[in-house]
Amino acid sequence: MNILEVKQLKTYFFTRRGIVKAVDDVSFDLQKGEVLCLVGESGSGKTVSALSILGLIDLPGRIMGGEVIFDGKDLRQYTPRQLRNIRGKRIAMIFQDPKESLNPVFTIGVQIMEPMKIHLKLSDKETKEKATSLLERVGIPKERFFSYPHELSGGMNQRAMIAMALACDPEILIADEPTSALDVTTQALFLEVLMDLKKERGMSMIFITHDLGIVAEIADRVVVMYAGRVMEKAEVTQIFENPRHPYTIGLLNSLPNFTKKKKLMPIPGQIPSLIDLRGCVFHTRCRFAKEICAKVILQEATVDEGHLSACLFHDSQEIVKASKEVGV
Amino acid sequence: MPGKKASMGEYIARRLFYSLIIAWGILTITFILLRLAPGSPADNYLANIAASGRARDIAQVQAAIDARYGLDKPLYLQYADYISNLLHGNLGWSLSTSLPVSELLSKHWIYSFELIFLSTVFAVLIGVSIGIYSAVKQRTKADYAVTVFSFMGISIPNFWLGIMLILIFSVKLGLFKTYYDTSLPLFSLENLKAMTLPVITLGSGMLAGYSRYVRSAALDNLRKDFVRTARAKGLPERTVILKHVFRNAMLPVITIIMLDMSGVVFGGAYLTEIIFGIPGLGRISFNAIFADDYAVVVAVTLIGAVVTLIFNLLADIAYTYLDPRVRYV
Repeated sequence: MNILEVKQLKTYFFTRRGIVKAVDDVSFDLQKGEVLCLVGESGSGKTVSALSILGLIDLPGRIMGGEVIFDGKDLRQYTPRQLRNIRGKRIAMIFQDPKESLNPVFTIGVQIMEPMKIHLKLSDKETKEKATSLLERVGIPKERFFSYPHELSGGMNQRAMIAMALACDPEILIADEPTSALDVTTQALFLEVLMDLKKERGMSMIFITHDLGIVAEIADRVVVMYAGRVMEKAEVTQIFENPRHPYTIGLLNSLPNFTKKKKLMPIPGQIPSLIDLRGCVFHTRCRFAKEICAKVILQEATVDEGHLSACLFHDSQEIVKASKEVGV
Repeated sequence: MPGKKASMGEYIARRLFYSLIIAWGILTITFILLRLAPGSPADNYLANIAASGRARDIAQVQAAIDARYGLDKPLYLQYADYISNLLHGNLGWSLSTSLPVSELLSKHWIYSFELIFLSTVFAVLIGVSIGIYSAVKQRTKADYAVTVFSFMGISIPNFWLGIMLILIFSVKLGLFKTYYDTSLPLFSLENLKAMTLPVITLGSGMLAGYSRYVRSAALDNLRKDFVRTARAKGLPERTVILKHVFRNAMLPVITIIMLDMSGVVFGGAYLTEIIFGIPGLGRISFNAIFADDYAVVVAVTLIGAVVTLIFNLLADIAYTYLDPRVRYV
C-alpha cells in the first residue's frame, strides 16, 4: 500500500545565471513500512526532493509542479498551516549534520519537547516524561536532557535528532544523509538504533544517502537519482544484481570490491550544470551514449515489474552485459 | 554543568578587581592632566573680584584660596589627599557651585539616568524589532526603507538632529518646549513628553545601528540548518523567527548594546543634555570643565569609567548565560 506518492515533482531554483532544475519530473512512491533509499552523488536532487515533500523549499527555490500524495490528499494543495500540522507530526525529518541542525542555544531536552508542545496536547509533565523516555530509547542517558548540543558527540546529537523526530510518532521518517557526518563505528550504532525504532513503530522511511553499503544493508527499494532526475527505480536486489541504467552500473563499478580484486572504475566527469540540459541528463558522462541520447529524454521504461530505468538502451546487449559484469 | 556556578563568583571577583585597578588608573590620569592644564579653580572667582572693582591684592586672594583648598601643595600631596578623601567617601568640594561634589552628583545623576535609560529602551525595542523585520523581509521595499532609514540614523550627528528637532517641533510647530523643564515631577506623562525630543536625539543613532546589527545577525542565522530543523518540526514561522533565530541573533547584539550603554551613551548624552538644557551629569561636567572645577570633572569622569567597566562586565556575564558555548576563564 502506498503511504506516500510523489508524482512528477518539479523544483526549480531561480538564480541569476538561470533556472536550475534541481528536481525535474521526479516520481516515486513509498510503501507502508518499507525503507526507500534515494541514492545519487551530491547535487543529484535527493535532498531537494525530500524537502519538497514537506514544502520546505526556500527562495530562490520553488516547487513548480507535481503532486505529493499523502493519505489520499495532495500536500501541495495544503495551506501553510495544514502543512505545519503534517510536519514533525506525521512526517518527520532528520538532517545531515546533527550539530548544525540543532539550535546551539537550547538544551536538547527543550528541542525534543518542542514538536510535542506544538502537535500533541499533553501536560508539561507527560511531555517531559515522554521526551526523557525517548532519549533513553535512543541510548542517551536521561541526564543529558539538560545538555546543549555542543556538549554531546556527533553520534549522540544525531540520536537526539531521532528522538526529536519520533516525538510525535510520525508515520514517515525522512532521513537526509543522517550518517554522513558520523564516523564509521558511530554510523553502525546509529543505523542499528534507527532500524530498531523503525521496526518497533512500523514507520515507513525515506533514507537519502550516497553510501551504497548502507543501501545494501537497509533498503527495501531504491531510487537512483542523477542531475535532478530519476535514473532507475527497483527493489534493492535488482539494483545490485541487475542494474539497467549506465549511471547505476557506473556507481556500482566505482565501489571497491575486495573479493574480485577489480580496479575501481570511477564515472568520468562531473555532474553537469543543471541550467541548460538537453536530452538524457547522463549522456555527457555515459560510456554507452549514442547520438540520440543528446536529443531524447526517456521518462521511464519498465525493465521488469517494479523495475524502471530511464535509459533508452536499458535492454541493449551492451548494457545487459555491463550489468552482469558488475560484481557486488 | 557542575563547576560553572562554582567559578562564577570567582570570575566576577577577579573582574571586579581588575576593574578597580583600571578605574584607579583613569582617576589618576584625569587628576594629573587637569592640573597640568593652564588655569586654576580660583580664576573665575578672581576675575569676578577684579571686575567688581573691590580689588585688593589679587595675588593675596589667590594665595588664600590656594591655601584653603590645598592647591598650593605639591601635586603628589594633593593627589594623596584626594585619594584619602575618596576612600572616606568624600568626593571633594565643587568650587564653582559651592557645594560638596557628592551633593551635586546626587542632585543631577537622575536626569542623565532617565535620559540614557529611556533612550536605550527606545533604541533597543524599535531597533531590534525593525532589524528582525527587515531580515525576514529581505530585499523587499520594506527592507530597503529600513536600510535607508538606518543609514540616515547612523550618519546624522545627534547634536545636529537635536537642533533640527527643536527647530521643527518646538519652534515652528510649538509641540514641545524648547528647553527641558526641571520643575516637572519625574514620573509623570508631562516629563515623558518633555523627554521625547532628547530621547529621539540620543536614541536614533543607536536605534539605527541596532537595526543593522540585528538584521545582519538574523540573516546569518536564518540560513542556518537549525532553522530548517525548526520548520521541519512544524513550528509556526513566528516561533521559528522569534525563538530560534532571535535568540541566536541577539548574542552579538547584546554585547554591542551593553557597550553602547557606556560608550556612545555617555558621549552622546553629554551633548544631548547640553542642547536641551537637561541638568544631568553631562551638563554639570561641561560647566565644571570651563570653570576648572577639578573635583567635579574628576568625579564625573570616574563615574563614567565605573559605569563603563560595570557594563563591560555585565555584557560578558550576560553573554555566558545567553550562549551556552561561551565560558569565562
